[in-house]
Amino acid sequence: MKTKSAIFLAVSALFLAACNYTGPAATTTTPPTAATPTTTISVTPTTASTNVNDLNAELNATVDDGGQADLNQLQKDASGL
Amino acid sequence: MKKFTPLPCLFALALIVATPVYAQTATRSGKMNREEFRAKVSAIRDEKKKALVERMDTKMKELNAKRTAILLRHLDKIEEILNRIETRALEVEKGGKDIASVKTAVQKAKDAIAAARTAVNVQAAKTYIIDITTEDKLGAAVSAARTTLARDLQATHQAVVAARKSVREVLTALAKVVGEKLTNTTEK
Repeated sequence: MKTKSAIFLAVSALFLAACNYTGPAATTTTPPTAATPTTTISVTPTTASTNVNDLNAELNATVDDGGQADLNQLQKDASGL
Repeated sequence: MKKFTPLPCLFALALIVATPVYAQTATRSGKMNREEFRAKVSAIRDEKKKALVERMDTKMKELNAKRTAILLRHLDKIEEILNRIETRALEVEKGGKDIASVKTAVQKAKDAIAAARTAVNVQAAKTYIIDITTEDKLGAAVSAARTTLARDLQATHQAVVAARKSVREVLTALAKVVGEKLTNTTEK
């Protein structure tokens, strides 16, 4: 009798466990899109100053060395010939 | 009627055939086209040198494109600055000031910008083909092409420098009219 009760309880426990089983543990990873922060592109508006020194500074920003560094590199690259 | 004499004709023909066609500087005249260059490169036996010549050809092409693009960007900016100077000058004129000197300088600057833009566009359209003659003269051929490219790029750069200087003169003229002190105006 005791054995029968034990078997009954064990089967009942298994049945209940099977009823509560909801599959493998769900992963908690959130989709990458949700986790990725929004990229903010900040665009600095072109200054429209007409102050002579501001304009002069902008003019100075267009000064370069005429590509001297690139030309020197080209000369170095050709040294194997 | 004179009798046909084949001897002078043959002599003339031999002269035409025997006259050497001197290789002109390909980089300047563009006589050697890209197909001829390709054929001459593929005939180079030293694989290392062949690869280097091909790389130099590509690099020169890329450098010309890069530099002319930069110079055009600079010119766009210089032109935009000139437009803003002109706007300011016109406002000053409305206030009753004489801006004749500024107007003269503006016209000169516009001409200089147009000239520089033409120079840059001409430079952008140029091709530099290494004038390969013999394998032992590859170094000299590459050097000649590179030197020509460097000289041309420097000349184009100077046109842009001249355009910028002319705009700076407009700015100087405007500064005088409005009585503002202009600093940091020297350019090498």
